[in-house]
Amino acid sequence: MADPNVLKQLRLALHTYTLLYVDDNVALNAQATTLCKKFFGTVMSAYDGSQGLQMFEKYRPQVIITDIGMPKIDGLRMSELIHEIDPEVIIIITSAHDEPSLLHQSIKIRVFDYLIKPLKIDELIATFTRCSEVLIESFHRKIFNANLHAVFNYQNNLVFLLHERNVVIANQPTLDFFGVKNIEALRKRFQSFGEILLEHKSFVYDHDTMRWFEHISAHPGHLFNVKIADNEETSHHFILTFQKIPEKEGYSVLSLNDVTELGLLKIYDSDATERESLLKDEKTVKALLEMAMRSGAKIKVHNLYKGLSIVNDGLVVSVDGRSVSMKSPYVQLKAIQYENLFYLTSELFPMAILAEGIRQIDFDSQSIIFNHYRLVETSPTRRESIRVTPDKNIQLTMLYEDRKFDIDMEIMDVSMAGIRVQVLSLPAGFSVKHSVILDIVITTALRPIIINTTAEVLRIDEVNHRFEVVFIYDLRGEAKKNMIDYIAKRQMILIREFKGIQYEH
Amino acid sequence: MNTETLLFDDTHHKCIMFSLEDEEHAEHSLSVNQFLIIQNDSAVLIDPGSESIFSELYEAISRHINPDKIKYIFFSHQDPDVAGAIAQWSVATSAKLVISNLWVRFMGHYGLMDMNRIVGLEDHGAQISFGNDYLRFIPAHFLHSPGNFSLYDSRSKILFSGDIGAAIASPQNLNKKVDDFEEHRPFLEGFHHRYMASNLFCRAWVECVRRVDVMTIAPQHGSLFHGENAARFLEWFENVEGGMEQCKTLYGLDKE
Repeated sequence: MADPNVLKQLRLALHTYTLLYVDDNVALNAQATTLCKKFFGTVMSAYDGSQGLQMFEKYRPQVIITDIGMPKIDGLRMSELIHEIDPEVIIIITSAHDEPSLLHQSIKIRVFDYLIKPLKIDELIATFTRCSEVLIESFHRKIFNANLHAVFNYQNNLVFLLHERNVVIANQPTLDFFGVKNIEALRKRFQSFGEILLEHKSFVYDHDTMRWFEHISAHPGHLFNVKIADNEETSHHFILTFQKIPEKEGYSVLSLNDVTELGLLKIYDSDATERESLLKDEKTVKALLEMAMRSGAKIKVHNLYKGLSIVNDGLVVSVDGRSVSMKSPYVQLKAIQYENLFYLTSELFPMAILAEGIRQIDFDSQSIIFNHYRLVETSPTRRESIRVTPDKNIQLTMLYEDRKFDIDMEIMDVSMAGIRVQVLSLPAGFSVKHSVILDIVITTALRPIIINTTAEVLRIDEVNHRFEVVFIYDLRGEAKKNMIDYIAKRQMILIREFKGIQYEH
Repeated sequence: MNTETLLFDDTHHKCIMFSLEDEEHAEHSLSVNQFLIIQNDSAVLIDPGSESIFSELYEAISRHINPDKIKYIFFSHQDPDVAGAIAQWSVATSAKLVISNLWVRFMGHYGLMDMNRIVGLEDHGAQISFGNDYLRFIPAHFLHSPGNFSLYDSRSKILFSGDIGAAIASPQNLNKKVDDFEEHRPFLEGFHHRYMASNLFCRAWVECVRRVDVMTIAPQHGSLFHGENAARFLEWFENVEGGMEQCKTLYGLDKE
């Protein structure tokens, strides 16, 4: 006995369908019809092939069960004729004869099943179960086909139908993503699709050894990573698939599935992601530089030479693509050449701009071309007091918790506000805000000058396996005057040293 | 000798003169004055002199105000007795250094490469307002330096005239005050005739000065002119003949 649950499920699956039962045996027909009514919503009977064909044409049942041997038109011929009208109709043959020739013929006309009479309930249920599966699939396919346009347009994937390399059609999300109004505009954009695919390590994009379309079309069905910027220049990570349409030579479907939210771009290529955030920043900075150019605003160009600030006016002359051309005095260009970067400040700018990517320095026309720039929150332009890299005539010893610290401290720079040193190790417990006593000894031609002061630890960083410590102090009286004197003289020496640097230009 | 003179004080606004240096000039000595204007909690230092007096002046200023409070240091021109300690002052304070644009490119020679610290004055001058008061940088070009300014303080009505009005070895130098212009005049003449470029500039400067209400003229060298003496000085100065007027003599062409 069949499982009642299975029967219930089968009834639910088939109750919306119509079945036509064709058999010239009236009693058997009635008996079978009664049985079929337990599953199908509507069950009709016909008693020969001709009547069966007429009823099919009139009522379009989805399932037909037919005997073979019948008057007028036999069951096989009727099935053939019906399939000519609708090849999707499910036809089940019943026969008292288990003859291979009939079976072969039935297969030829693509009948759904072949059942031997008398019908066994289990066999019928098994056949009806398969029937229901096919019907549901067909139903879904019909819904899909009927609503294909909507399916096409309301999925998130970007989908293109291509003919060769040209866009035939694309869905709405594609138009939205690229910020174009119609397919024509998209077609134009797609002509340079290779340029749209951005460089990213192990991703598909045009470069020396790869042309994107050749690469993906040689691997249909494969998944590829690509990076594309949207209309607002935000990069998206897509999984690209490419499928050729069977029997339609030259036609293919390109699908792009946006997986940006997975945050994988950085894993593939952290450098590119970093570059990209810089690039985004560069757009803002470029606008600021253009504003400076239009207003003819003088901006300050900052460089450092061994801690010494070298600052002069700069004037943005042109902004062409990413390249910015600026004029600044000879001495500043020399400082830029030394540092290979510079900072720009102006009342126009919210913070300092770090400029790198020096393309050209022309000392004759006192101009410079650069193409990398970004805003920076901290920069030497914010220094309040003059800082210099010291010479060998200045030494430092530290007393911490009343004990002399014996490790050599290398002075990185010194100012009126503090001193920055590097040291291999630090005393146990030494930390920020702790108080120390510093003895700064400056050797002069006449006599050593000792600056003795209390200081506070402002910062401790680790730099190249060494500790970098910044002490701040408040020098007074003679100590202050001696330090002013040292820094002012050191500044003068550094200026002379800087002026003495010779470059070939 | 008194090295410090209070020129003005109304509790909010103070002007102090320091006289920390003497220069030898031919057989005479030439006293050098430095000035400090303090208003409330900020200060302007004027012509702070050479490196040799830096420490002494720094200390003297410290008695009145923390030198960190100096917002501007004004250099009337580029001479070493005016601008010789630029490196020290740039290290010792975070003040902006105000000087004629003409000398900005020389700052590297004075020990400063950071033009962000420099306020370069355009030839026509400038004015800094604070409340109802102001400081005006009055052009004094070619008197004697080609890039030269006097500074007028509207609150104290003092004109800090730089080299204009400098007197060499007048007995009135001792008390830093001109009591009798006529007696003082001989000590002005030699210097002005030789140093000022032309009467044309003298007249232009006097014209500019007369646009403001001057009570005191405080030159960088010698004694100060108050009230009537200041007016007498202006009358005298607009008739001074300078280098151009005696060009042939200067070049020895008058003897040919």
